[in-house]
Amino acid sequence: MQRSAPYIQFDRVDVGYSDVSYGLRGISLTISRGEFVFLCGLTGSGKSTLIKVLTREVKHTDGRVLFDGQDLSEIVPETVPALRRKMGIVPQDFGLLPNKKVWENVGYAMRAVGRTRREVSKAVPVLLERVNILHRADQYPKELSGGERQRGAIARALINNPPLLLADEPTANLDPEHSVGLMQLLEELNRQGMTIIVATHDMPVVEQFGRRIVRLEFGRIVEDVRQEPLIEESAEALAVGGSEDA
Amino acid sequence: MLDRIEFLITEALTAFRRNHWMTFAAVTTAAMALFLLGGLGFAYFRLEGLMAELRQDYRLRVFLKDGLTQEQKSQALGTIRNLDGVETATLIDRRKGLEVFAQENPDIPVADFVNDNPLPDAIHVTLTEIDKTPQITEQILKQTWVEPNGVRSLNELRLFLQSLISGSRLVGFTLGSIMLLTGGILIYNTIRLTIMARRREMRIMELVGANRRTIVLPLLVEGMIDGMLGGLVAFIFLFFSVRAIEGIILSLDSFAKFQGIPVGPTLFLLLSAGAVYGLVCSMLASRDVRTGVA
Repeated sequence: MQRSAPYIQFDRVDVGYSDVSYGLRGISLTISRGEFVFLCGLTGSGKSTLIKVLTREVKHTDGRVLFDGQDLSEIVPETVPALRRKMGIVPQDFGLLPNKKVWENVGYAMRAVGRTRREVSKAVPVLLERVNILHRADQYPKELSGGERQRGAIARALINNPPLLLADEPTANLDPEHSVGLMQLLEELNRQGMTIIVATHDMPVVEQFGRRIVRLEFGRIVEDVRQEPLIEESAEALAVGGSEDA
Repeated sequence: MLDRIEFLITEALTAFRRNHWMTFAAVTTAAMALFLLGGLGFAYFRLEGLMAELRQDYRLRVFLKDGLTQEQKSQALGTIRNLDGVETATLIDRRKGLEVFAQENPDIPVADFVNDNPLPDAIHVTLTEIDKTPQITEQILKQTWVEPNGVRSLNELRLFLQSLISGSRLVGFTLGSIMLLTGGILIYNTIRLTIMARRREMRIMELVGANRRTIVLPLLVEGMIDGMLGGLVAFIFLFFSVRAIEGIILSLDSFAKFQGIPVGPTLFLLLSAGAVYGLVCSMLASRDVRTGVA
């Protein structure tokens, strides 16, 4: 696994909404291929904006953003879909369609990117198995716990087999037990070579899993540290007493 | 390819289940617009053709006063023949007139009238230009040898067609324009509702990297289907309307040749017009989605 080459590079990036309102201010950040990065900070600190700059949901107003050697400033609207196929995006609200079963949610996304029915029927069970949700494939989102919904959303994010996964507040609606389970899933994906960027304000979980922590405040990076994961018992301790959040 | 088309059409049809009442309103209004503009426009040209065929049959009957001498009758005949727009003029005396009446009305016993013929002498006139009927009638009525109000037009069918034509022109283009605008707004609103209802699906499509056309095409297909359904309903209205008009025309003149609408071409035209109409409306409604602003 190659970790040294800059995979994502933010160079003095601003996102300005007006002369006085900024989403990001002078962000400089380099992420290597295969890294697991937590973007931490309070609501409004800019962590979601940073992810949206990468997905091109938000266009930066100044500076330079490189992704896989490609300057995002040069991307035109027609090529945004191609960019997004290189990344899996897990939105904060899961984004599951309530009137479709779990497998249909994943299948629908695959159909939207041009896969045939045959390809969908082959790939969906594999994807659901990969995130340990295959046993709930025929359930509707409302019948799932928060953690299961999040796994469904991750399965959908993996349909293009992307080398990068972006998760915005994936544990926001989860209890500690499910949060730990979800992070273990993301760790597993990271071990398989996927670069993972997680925006979260769930500091207990972040501290248990460690890795690289980039802390943002008011659109600026105030801390960028690499922390080794704490002992597994701590994660297990977090899980003790957790309740179902279905 | 077929798999892709099936996905796009399925997506478009999903909207019908969501906005069925709005879709119903859009389709029926589009149908009325297409019926009034396209259908009556088509009927208008058909009736114009029928009018052209009937021109040679335009006839007047001029009833002469009693007691005219043969010379006066010949002068009257000559006067009429010299009028601009008159093709032929034939003197039908009262005796021959009774024979004609008996032929035209076989159910009425005319034997009793042979000795006491109530019919006046008449001149049967055919016209070259039907549009000059009012002027010719006016000129004849000025003559001293004609009965007061003694000019009778036999052109009920013409008058009926004329009223249909002017009616279709007025109704078709006035109401049709209003309906076209209303139908367009309704299709526009239906597509906007679909966009609102599908916002979640569209967002997911965007997140997973679906092409812009995959997101927009179902909206355009939905608009086209709305318009085509409108065209189909308009065709059904038109078909039965033309049948009804045909019945009326044949009751007025059993020899009139009236061609009904050609089913295939008319259906094709209305469906095509509906598809284009729906496509334009849905393109307007989805322009922000197409450009990625939504």
